[in-house]
Amino acid sequence: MDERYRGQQPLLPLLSIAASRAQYAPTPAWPPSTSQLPSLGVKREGASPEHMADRKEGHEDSMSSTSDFVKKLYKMLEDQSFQNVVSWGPQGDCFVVKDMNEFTKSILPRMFKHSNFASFVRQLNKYDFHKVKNTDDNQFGEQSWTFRHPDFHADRRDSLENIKRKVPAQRKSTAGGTPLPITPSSSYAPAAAYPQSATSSSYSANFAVGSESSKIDTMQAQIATLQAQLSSLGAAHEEVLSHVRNLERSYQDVLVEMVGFQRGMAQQDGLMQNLIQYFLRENNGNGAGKVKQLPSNGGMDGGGNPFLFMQQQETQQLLDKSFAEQDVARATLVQMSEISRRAEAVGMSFGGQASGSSSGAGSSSASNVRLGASVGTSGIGAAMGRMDMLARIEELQAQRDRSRLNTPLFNSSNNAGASGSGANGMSTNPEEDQRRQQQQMGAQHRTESPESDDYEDEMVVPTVTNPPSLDVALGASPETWSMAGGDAHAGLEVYTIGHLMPRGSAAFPDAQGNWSFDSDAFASGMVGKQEASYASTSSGSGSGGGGGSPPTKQTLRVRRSTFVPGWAVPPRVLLVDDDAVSRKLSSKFLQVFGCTIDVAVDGVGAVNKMNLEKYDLVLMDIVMPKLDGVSATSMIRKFDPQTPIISMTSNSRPNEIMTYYSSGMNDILPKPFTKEGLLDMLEKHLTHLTVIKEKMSTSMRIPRQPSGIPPLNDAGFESALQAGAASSSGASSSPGSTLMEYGLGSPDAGDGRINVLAGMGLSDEQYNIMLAGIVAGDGFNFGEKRTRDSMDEGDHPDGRDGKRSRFEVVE
Amino acid sequence: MADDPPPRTRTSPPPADPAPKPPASKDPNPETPRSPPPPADSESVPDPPAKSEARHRLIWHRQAIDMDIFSQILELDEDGTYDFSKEMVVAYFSQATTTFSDMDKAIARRADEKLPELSALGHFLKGSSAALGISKVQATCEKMQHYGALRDEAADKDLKADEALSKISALLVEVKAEYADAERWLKKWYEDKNESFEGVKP
Repeated sequence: MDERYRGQQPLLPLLSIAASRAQYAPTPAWPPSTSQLPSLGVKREGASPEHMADRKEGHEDSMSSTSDFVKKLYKMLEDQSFQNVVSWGPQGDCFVVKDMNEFTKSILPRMFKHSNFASFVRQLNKYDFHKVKNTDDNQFGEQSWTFRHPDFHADRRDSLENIKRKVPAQRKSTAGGTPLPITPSSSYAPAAAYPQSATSSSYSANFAVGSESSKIDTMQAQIATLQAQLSSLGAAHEEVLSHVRNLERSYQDVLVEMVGFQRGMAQQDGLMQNLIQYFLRENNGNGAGKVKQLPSNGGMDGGGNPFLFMQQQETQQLLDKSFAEQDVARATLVQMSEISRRAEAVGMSFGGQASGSSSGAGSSSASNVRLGASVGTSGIGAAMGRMDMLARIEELQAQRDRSRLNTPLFNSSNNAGASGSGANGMSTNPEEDQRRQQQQMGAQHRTESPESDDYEDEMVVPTVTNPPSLDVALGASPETWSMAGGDAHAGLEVYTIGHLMPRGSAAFPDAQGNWSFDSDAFASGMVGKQEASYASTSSGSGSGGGGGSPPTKQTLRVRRSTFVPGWAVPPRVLLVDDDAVSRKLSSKFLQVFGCTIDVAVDGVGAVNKMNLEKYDLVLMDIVMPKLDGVSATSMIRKFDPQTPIISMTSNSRPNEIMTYYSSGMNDILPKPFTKEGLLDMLEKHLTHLTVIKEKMSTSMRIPRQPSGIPPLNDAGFESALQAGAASSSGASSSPGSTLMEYGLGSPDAGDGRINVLAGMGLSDEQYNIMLAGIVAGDGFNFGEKRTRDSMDEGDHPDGRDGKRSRFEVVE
Repeated sequence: MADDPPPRTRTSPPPADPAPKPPASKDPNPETPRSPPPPADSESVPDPPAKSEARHRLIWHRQAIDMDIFSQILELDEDGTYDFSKEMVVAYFSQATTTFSDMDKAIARRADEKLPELSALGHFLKGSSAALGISKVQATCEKMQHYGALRDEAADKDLKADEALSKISALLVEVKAEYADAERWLKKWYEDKNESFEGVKP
């Protein structure tokens, strides 16, 4: 048979053309059909040997209507050489595979071209052969298999053609069904390819057999099954797709939720910051209250309290609400006169007290009364400071290291002397009074050697320095200013500036309250350091103070500066406007408000910039060439849902406003806007940046002037701000004297300071590191600023003079 | 707290600031032999010009310049200088000149293009004028913006194209005159401060 088959191969082409006899018709049809099959189909045939065999049968036997398989089976049983392995049963109505192993090894490959006994059995089953159970008559042993078919008899050859394959549907479901369950998607292609081969093979078989109608039925049944399979596959595919879609949807949901979460977090953040701010305020209030509650309110109270009071009740209010300069100026005037009034009163009373407590105080009180609040307050402060300060120190710094406090007596007295002279310079005391007072104080310090007295002395120092600040504030009295000694009042002047600083004033109460501790700690530092700081102070004020009281200042003015919120970090604002004039104006405003500005001239530029950089706020014009503000906003919103975008527009009809909001804008700033309007906007949308700043500067007691006050048009300001970054930005533009003094003072004072941030979870170490960072930042900024100033070709050769003078009080 | 309405009204000029001269007191400079600005608008003052030139100027200027806004810009100047405001003004001058020439060009364009173009230009100049407080120019430009969009806001009705065009043509003359007045006024203002525009870059 093998030979025959092989011999046939070369003939096939010929046969395919020539053979028209029914018998061989299928033979030529088969190979071409196979060759035309897609590779998958071919592979598949190799995988299921029984089909190969099945098909070969078709052209291997000459019996016309009998199935190939049956014919082969019959032939095999006729072959005597196989007798010992497979043979007819004793009655000839069945056949017996006596040795399955031998059968599988030798006969199956020869007869059926495979060596799979199970396949053979399956094939038999398909032709409705049934295995006969080995029962009593098991003469061929345990390994034997007996198969029977009613029409399969050794002596009834003609009935063989009654043996047919069972309905193909069954076969199909097994053949096509097997791959299906495994991996539907992967089996899809093979399954689709399979029917072709199956169809072709059965087709050829049909041809050969000639029982066409039944075969067509089976084919149709097959097709139906295939179609069913196809549709089921399609359904499965759909199912998978929908599952994927579901997944995608839930993924999107998750994304949306995450964005929502982020928003929530941001809101929470805002709330926290508000709370912090609130508590900070509360704190400040408490600080003031504490001072008040102290039984013996010394100079500190007399000086600081009115200030606090004024600040919180009026100044801060005024400032927070973005009052105009002139209002602030007026308020400041009122405030000053009030302060001077109070200080005077305090000076008097303290004078009395002081004289009671110390011999020297009498004269000082006299001078106080005569000279007005300034020196009086300081002298009294010095006297009174003891009780007051001691009490406060004990209360607030119980844990403080004593040795630190008990610095050399000389040191503190020295300091006191210095500050005393400073006060003198400020207040324009007659020299004699001054000297006398100083001597008295010095004597006081020297005579009182015990520990506790040292303590007091140290306390005195701050108190002495403290009033001068008031003096300056009070300095409204013009003559003080002009007569003020250059280097002594320098350091004091700094404080003054701090006080007058309107925004800074918000933070001031705290600074004021804690001030004594600063200077106290400062005083306890090394003498050398003190001197250094003083030197720097004086040098800083030499230029600042000297130029600070130019004759041009005829009125008390607090200029534009005032409204600047203290930013933790200069907010980065993207300004989008096509109108150069408006752009210039807005930029200037933003600059004054301490923002870092980037500019885009149309919507396209805005979208590009938003893509590249992160901004804290966007100010967006609406009508622009190329891409209008609304479209630009909706584009930006696709990748940046967060950054506040504020439309600047002169078209603000309700329907237009709706359009703006629906495009994703957060707010509307009608054009032409005012400074106040813009500032309100900034504060509203950048609260998170202001609060931190307030907190920081409050805690650091850095005069607020810096960031707030607008040295602002010099080029150095912006860069200084940037360089100063978050924490140091506050101090960046403040006069060098302030920087130096605070800078040097603070690290020394490290453990002496109260960690104001403790309540916010900052450890003392962190706090000190922060302070140190500020010092470093300040130094840098200071230097940079100076160079910038000198490079500035502006009208002021010394830019600082001009800036400073804004806050000086001249009549 | 930022939401609190500022209790201050913007109408009070900052008295503490000497730089911006209070318009009422400073402006009528009788010794300046300047011709009264041509009353381009309908509500021009009927005073005999010879008699009260200064007063006329004052009135004109009250209508034409929003001193609140202008002084806001002046506040941005450094003490004793006018550098920034001068820059602003010069930038405005150049922008206005450019815009007027654009308007002239736009008028000459095809009918279906010119109106939107004129509307956009009107809007543009309206913005810059508003930024400086040049109210009259601002108002006229706004009209032009609306006419260009075939809309008469004052009469609250829609316009036909040719109607709008003729209105705009009239407006263009008007706005140029108004601008000329404003420019003259601004230049005079700086002259009085001994400030020149020499070398100021917009």
